Amino acid sequence: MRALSRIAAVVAAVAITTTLTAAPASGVGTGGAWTNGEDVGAGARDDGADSRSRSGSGSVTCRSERLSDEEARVVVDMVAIGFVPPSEGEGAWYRRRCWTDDGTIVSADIVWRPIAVSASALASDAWDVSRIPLPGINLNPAEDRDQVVNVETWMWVDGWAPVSASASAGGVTVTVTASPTHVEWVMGDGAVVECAGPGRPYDESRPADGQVTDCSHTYRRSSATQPDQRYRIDATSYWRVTWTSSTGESGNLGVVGRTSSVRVRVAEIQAVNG
Amino acid sequence: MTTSRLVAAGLLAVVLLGCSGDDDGGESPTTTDPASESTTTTTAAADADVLDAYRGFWDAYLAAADPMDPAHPDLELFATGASLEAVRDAFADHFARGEVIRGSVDLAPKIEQLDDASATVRDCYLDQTHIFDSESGAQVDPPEDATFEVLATLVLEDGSWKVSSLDKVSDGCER
Repeated sequence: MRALSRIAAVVAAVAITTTLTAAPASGVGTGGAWTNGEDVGAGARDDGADSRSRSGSGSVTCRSERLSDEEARVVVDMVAIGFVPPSEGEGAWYRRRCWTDDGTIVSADIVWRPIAVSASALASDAWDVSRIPLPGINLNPAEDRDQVVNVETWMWVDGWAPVSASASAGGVTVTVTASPTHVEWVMGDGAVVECAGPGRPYDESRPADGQVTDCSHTYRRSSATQPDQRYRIDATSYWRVTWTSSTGESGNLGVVGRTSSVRVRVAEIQAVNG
Repeated sequence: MTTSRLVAAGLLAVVLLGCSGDDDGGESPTTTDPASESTTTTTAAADADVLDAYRGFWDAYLAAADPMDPAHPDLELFATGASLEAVRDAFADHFARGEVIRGSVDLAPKIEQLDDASATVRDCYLDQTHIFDSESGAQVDPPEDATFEVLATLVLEDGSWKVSSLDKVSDGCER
């Protein structure tokens, strides 16, 4: 009976299958509607091949193909009725088939495969530049007061701490960290000041004599000729963005700049000689 | 009406006649007894329901076979128990192999037994279905059609007849 060799093929397929089996066909075979204890009929007529013996002697080639969206929906329904184990994590459904040299299928399974996660791609996906804070501009004299020609203006920024974000997919976790490196101040009078750090805040509760700054600028001209009689100050904080992965990989996503602006009036103080 | 149904109807008539004979003290029974008519009508309707369900089973089978869908909702409308499990198992294997079943089945079902909750249908059907690779469309089984004699058991489940088993009696049969 031809259907009997179909059963043999199923037995062979089960024997060499190492991944999950889509159809636990034991006992009923691979055909269609009727059974006689071993066979299942209607559309069950086979090609007479004894795959079991062939699988032991010839070479077997296996190939996996990702299922189409329509087929994947069928698998989801098969999961619902318990014919396929549920998926785990992010991935896709594949049809894995193995053939002997003469083209006889000796095993066929539906398997869930995690998507191969690229840590660098995951890092790029995880990273959002908006997580980096804008620099909070601070001046002394304060921005709502006049700066003074030939008097040092102190500058510093708030928000000077590393920022991290993590993302996971397919069993891989990537942590992206942005670390501030320096601040570039465009002072509005043509001067550009680069400060290696956030700058040192001026503490009005302490004597001025005991305080120093590493980030300052001295205007030499008033802002009287500027629009609205003010200079525009742009402070750009720069952040180096790197990532590390649970796989041990690491990488660099480059340098990101974040800019805030204020407008200040710079006044000249006339000396009065008595 | 098929031969088997005539036989079944005849057996029913005999039973009714026997009961009638016990009651009426030897009068000749008639087949126009209202009770007999009613029962025959009811039986005919039940026969039709069973055969409709059997044919519905094959319709569902073919609907679920192309595209191959072991979880096709029609299957559980017309199959239950071992039969449903067997079809789903088989179709799951075809699905994994990337195969579909196309074609038709030419049915000739006859009711052999029928009671309130179960029925037996014998069929000698011409199987004109074949297995195809779903991607290439190439037929992967021999081209010949074949006849099979099968015995189907149907059960009444929530008011609907469903095939609970379908056993092959023989390869080949006279139609």
